[in-house]
Amino acid sequence: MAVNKGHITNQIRRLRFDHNEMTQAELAKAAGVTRQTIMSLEANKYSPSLELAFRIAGVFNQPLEAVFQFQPAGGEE
Amino acid sequence: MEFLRHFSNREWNVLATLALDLAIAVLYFSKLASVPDGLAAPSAALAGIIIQITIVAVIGAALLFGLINWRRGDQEPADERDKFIAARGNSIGYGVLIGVIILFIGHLVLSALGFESELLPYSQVTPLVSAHALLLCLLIASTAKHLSQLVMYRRGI
Repeated sequence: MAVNKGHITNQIRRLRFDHNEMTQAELAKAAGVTRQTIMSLEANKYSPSLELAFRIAGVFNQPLEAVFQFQPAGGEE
Repeated sequence: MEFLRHFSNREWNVLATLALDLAIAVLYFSKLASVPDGLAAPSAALAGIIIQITIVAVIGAALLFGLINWRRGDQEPADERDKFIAARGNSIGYGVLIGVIILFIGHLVLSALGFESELLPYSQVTPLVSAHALLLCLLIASTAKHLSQLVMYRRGI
């Protein structure tokens, strides 16, 4: 059975603005990564580890699936 | 050169390492070309060049990385993305290193079997030539590693 590769998208940019216009640097510090990593995540150029994904969701006090979504390659769920 | 403004400290350090490696290699091999006996046998001139280049490389690295740290502040600790990019770069560099060494050994084997090439005839492959060929292999692998890291930082992974 072929594995559907897909990619991970996220709501980080929107959530930052919903959280008192939190800056990328502030989120980076809270999540323990560099600002460049937050920039890459927002541009969907980097898929985070499960640990980082949970840390970012924790910063926003949201469940993981409210922050990160898996988009299958063909567009189907 | 607009994109250089968006480079992080880590990207500047990778770029500086790449530029320094290539500059030192060009300097070394251009000086090597002026040695009368070439790489036929060890000589005082060759030893002098190696010492000279080592000193230039150490001073160059100190100045270049000192300048980057002075202009841009200390480098942030590496996070998971930096480590992932470093690991992928090392993996690519290792693959390239194995590839070029196999090419070099293949060339030696074919030459020994009588399939001589004009580029590097078997009779001219002295131990010093072999050492420099391996040095060139390391340089190619290091260039591939740093270039791939820069591409991954810029284009995403």
